[in-house]
Amino acid sequence: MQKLYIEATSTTPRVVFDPDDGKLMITGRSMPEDSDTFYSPIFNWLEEYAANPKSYTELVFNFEYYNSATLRCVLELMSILKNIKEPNTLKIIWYYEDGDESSQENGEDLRYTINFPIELRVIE
Amino acid sequence: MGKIINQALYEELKDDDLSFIYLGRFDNSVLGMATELWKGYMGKSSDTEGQKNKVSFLMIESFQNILRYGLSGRTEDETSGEIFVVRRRENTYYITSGNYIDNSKIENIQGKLERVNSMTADELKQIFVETLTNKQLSKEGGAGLGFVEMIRKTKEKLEFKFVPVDKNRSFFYFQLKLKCGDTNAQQPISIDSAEHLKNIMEQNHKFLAVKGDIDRTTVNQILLMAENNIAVLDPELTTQRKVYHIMVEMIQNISKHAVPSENGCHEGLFSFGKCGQEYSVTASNYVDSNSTERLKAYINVLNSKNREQLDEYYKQVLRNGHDNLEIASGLGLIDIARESKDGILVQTDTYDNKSLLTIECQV
Repeated sequence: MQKLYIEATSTTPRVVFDPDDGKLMITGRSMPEDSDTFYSPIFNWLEEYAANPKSYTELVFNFEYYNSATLRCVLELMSILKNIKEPNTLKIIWYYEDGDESSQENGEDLRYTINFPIELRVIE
Repeated sequence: MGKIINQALYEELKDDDLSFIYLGRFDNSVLGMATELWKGYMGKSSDTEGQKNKVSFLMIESFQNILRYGLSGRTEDETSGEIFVVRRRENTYYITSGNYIDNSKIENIQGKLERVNSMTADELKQIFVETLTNKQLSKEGGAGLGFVEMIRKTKEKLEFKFVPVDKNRSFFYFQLKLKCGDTNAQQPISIDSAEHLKNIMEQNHKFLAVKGDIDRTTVNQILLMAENNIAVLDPELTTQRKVYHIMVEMIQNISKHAVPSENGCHEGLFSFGKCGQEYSVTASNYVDSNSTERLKAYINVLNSKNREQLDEYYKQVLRNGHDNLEIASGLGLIDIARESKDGILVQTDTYDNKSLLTIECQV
């Protein structure tokens, strides 16, 4: 499987999904006008990966800014990976800036919505 | 020579710490620039990271509301009409958008807004989760994930207003308010202010106005936004360069010569627009009242010279500039005078015992 690499723009994040070590990272700004168009190739890649995942998968979100439509796509990405079954393990990390209670709250909302122990971490 | 527009704008904005008004071309790249500009501004404020991120989020959501719903309501001969305003006053951010809307859609939007405005925090959370998980609901709009998130982040009622335009359309104003820290707003900004600003800007053919601390970092962002518009309006490269050059000089003039306020800001108001074939660039800043008359006299001297005389004068100042600092600081002004069609318009006003100097030129 090919590595998925998308360079950041002023309105879309950097995406680095490495199928060899199971590290999947999304960083930067996510405020595309049409979030579905931006995220759909990522969904496709992830579905293929989830069918044959590494023993340990780590999905990391570290956003500088995001729009509300992005949250919906984030939820979709998490849902795809939730299908990963034991003995394979999955970790999802949601980073937020210290003191940014609304981003922290969104992390909690996602955790509640998807019913998965998403780890909330403060950006160091 | 017409009346200088910045006065009317200044009257409306003078109690703001920061203001940004935009009526130009709307696309996502402009949003990127506006967010950068505010990031630069907010970098200096004492607001927390969380508050700053909220402002960015709210800006993105309301700007994209214009992109999503606004641009379709325009007729072909209306090249613009949407407005996007961000202001900070008395520890409160105000983010206002305005766009055309089909009258047939008003009932639906108004219903959604009234619904979220009446909800408790728990109900909002519930509706947020429902909207997030229900794809069908979100396609149809549902309660509007954007509206739900806006009210959850601001913890303030969403303000809105529909102003009838013709039998089919109205203009939809939408305002968000975010309080940062202690605030006992003496002069809250009403949603009507955006309507007033829109009228001033439109009557004067301006599409960008920025008030606040104008320094090197903000200058670059302002220039980028203006440039983005010129590039579309004028494919002619020489015109683009000329206008760009004038803007650089005028904005730098603010950042160099403005009298710093108590907190060290170089406060200024910059506006930019196009009427017919002419661009207008206007800059206002506080100056030392002693130098007002001297500056005015100097500009009048420049205005009395023709192009050849100005070229000659420019060389002369370049050669001898360092001997005479007072004249050297006028080099930028000579440049502006050289490019300006009808000379430099100049005007001074007094606010709170301070002199506000405004210069404007047409390119």
